[in-house]
Amino acid sequence: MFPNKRFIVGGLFALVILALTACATQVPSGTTQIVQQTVVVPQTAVVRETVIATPAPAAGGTFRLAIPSDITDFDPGLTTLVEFQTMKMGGLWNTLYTWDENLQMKPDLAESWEVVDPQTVIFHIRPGVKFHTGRELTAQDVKWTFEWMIKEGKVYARELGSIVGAAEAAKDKSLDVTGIEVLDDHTIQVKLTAPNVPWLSSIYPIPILDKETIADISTKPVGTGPFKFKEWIPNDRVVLERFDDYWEEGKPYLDRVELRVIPNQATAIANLKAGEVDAMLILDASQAATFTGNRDFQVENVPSTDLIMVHTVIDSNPVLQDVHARRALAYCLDKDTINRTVFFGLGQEQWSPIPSSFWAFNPEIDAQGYPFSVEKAKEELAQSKTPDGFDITYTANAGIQASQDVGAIWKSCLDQIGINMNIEVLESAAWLEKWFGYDYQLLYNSGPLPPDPQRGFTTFFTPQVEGTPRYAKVGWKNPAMYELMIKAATTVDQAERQKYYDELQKMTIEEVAPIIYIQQNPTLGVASSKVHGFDSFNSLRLLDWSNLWLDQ
Amino acid sequence: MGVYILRRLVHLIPILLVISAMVFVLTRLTPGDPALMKMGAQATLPENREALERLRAEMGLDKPIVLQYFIWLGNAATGNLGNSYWSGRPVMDLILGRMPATLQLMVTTIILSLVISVPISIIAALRPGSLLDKGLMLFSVMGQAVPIFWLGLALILLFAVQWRILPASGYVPFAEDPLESIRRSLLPAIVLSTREIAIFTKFLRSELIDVLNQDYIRSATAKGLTQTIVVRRHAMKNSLIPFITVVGLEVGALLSGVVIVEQVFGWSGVGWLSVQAVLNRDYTLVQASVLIVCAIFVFVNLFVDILYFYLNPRLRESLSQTST
Repeated sequence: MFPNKRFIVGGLFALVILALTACATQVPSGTTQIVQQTVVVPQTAVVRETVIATPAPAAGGTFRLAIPSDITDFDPGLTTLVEFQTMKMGGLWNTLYTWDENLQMKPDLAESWEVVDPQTVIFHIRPGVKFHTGRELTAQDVKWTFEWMIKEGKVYARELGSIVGAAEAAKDKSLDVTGIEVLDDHTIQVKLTAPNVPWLSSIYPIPILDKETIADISTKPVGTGPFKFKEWIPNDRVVLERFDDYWEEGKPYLDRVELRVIPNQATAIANLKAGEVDAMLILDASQAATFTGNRDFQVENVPSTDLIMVHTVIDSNPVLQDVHARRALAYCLDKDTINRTVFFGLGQEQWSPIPSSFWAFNPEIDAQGYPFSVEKAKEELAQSKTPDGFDITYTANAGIQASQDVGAIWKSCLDQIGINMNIEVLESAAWLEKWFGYDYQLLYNSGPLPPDPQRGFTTFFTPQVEGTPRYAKVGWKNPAMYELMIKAATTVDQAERQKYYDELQKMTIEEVAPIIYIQQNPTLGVASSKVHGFDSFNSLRLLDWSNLWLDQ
Repeated sequence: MGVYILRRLVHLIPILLVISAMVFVLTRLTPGDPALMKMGAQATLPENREALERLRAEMGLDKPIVLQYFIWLGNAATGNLGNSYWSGRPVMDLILGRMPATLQLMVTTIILSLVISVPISIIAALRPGSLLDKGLMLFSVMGQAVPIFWLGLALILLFAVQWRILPASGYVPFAEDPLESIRRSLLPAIVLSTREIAIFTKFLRSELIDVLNQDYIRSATAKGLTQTIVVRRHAMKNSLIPFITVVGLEVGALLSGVVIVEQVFGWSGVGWLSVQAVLNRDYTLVQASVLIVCAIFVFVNLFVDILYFYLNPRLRESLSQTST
């Protein structure tokens, strides 16, 4: 008996659609000459395989970068959004110093700096730097920018608040910040209220602004960067063009930079493959696989400072006050499965708040974590005050698929030992409200850290000021740990600091509170192989814009 | 007729009032805090708690919800729908700035849908049960079933990545570059019109089959009129009346499709703006965009009703009798 005609027509139609879609996934091989190819490896190290010698940089061309959302305001003191950082760091403005691809400090507007003592830093400002208006930058501009940020309560006011006189000037705007002293046109000294060695690493994102054009900064930004502002077409693109008077001789190589707003990542990838954009600085691990083996593109998988973690609230939860219950939870985290299935093997396990790319990371201590073991989880639970198990809620973010997947993998083990985990998936704004209100038991989170070991501890492990919601709700009080943090922050000698961080690493692993660390969040960027200099991409999603050039 | 239009416009006021109250309550019942969203990670710091409260007060969120509503309503009555919490700019400026992009996409979609669906409905209706008719009906079912975002990405892969004949995304204003503007609107309009073509075809085909079986059509054919004249002068005219109502109602569905398509194609219209507003809990912008979209829907339906009068002589007659 012959099948019904309707089924034949339907079947053929479906086959045509499938065939067309399958064809579309095969990216045609381009004619671009491959000069340097970056290979994604399942660790956080970057391996670059040079196929043919790198030719001399070619001048000219437009570099088009896909960004996921538009700029709402060009004032750099309003947001720390990644896409804004990207533009700020290389395109429009310069900062005192920046970070290279290996997260080493690299001079920018400051040619050099001296840490005189744990509370004094002197910056030597580069001569011959001009603003896009043609005016020369001096140490006075650095002072003015810092004071403006403090007095206007901008996002960096917290970091700058450690400077002598900052608190007073924030209250009375007529006052000078006395801790900032201009020694001469190209030298500036900053004095802090207390010894704070990591302070220097916290000010890297602050761009130096032009006081004469500050009134128009929201729509017509002026900086000293390699590219000057040309136009902004809301929700479409930001166009920057070459600044001919840039201080680096012969740079930048590019004529023009376009930041194109493409909200959907799959569409941005299609644009990249269609040759309509040249690069993306944000790429999910799941999407990186679509570039595997494709020589028309270079994928950068760099040592990440972005840690994936689960926050706990201790005080309001008697069960979690017991370290054995927390260890039972930790033993049930199958990190190998999480990395392989959720992050496509692109991340690296972590048990402490110091990412492996930081100088203070001690791999031997981090290895003393809790390797996945159902048996050990059962043993820890048996020693706890709740040997028969307990109910717990895990809060995931609907906007981050990985948060839900991690919860599901975790739950499959916890079910076996009698811990009943309820996975609550909340839309981003609702998730944020829970997180800021400390209204959770276990909450998935991730975020990049500035490249200094101190920040991972001060952000989440500082005993909070009495009377604040975090003190009342998270309830993390460990005076010994706090003492070590103070010592680490006030010691200039790196070898000595290392000892304190070793001890701190050990304590966070032993206590597994108030945070359970999971792994590094892969930091991935992708560019067409015709883009050169893209290997300056680092885990802070910074690029050395003046060094970028394109095959002509 | 003028009285009728005026009456319908007066009806718009309670409709918008009810919608505004509903949107107002719903946005505030949704978990999430606009002040937290705006401050971001800074809000977690204990020293910023005061600043957070200050921001809430600036946004007017510290007042009781009923009072907030009446303050908003009072401003709205004077034409001031407020400023965006997120960007600080007047919401009307933001919406009107994005409106041309959305209207262009909608008009292109409607034109494309009509140009394709009307002829294929006629072909299918003239040969009901034929292989062609069945094929068109299969397309109709699939057109309604295929998710818009999937179709959008599949077409981008085909037309932009594989064949490189159309751009993958982005909006160019018509006034700036008409040819490029049309090129860019083609893919999103094709995606949006797939569903519309399916619905229009299914509806118009069954209407036409129904009308073509009426006695007066048989009389017209018996009189010796050609098939083209019978369909054009007699069958289509009568089928168009209910069809136009469906087209009007579909504008509402199109508005929801626009929200997804604009995201997929990076099309900077009102849909994209609204999604961002919801995600950022930008209450004022959500309220204003929902109100304006509702008003558009009501106006389109009013226009359809007016058209209905012109197409249906019996209604025109009854209206003139009522007027006298």
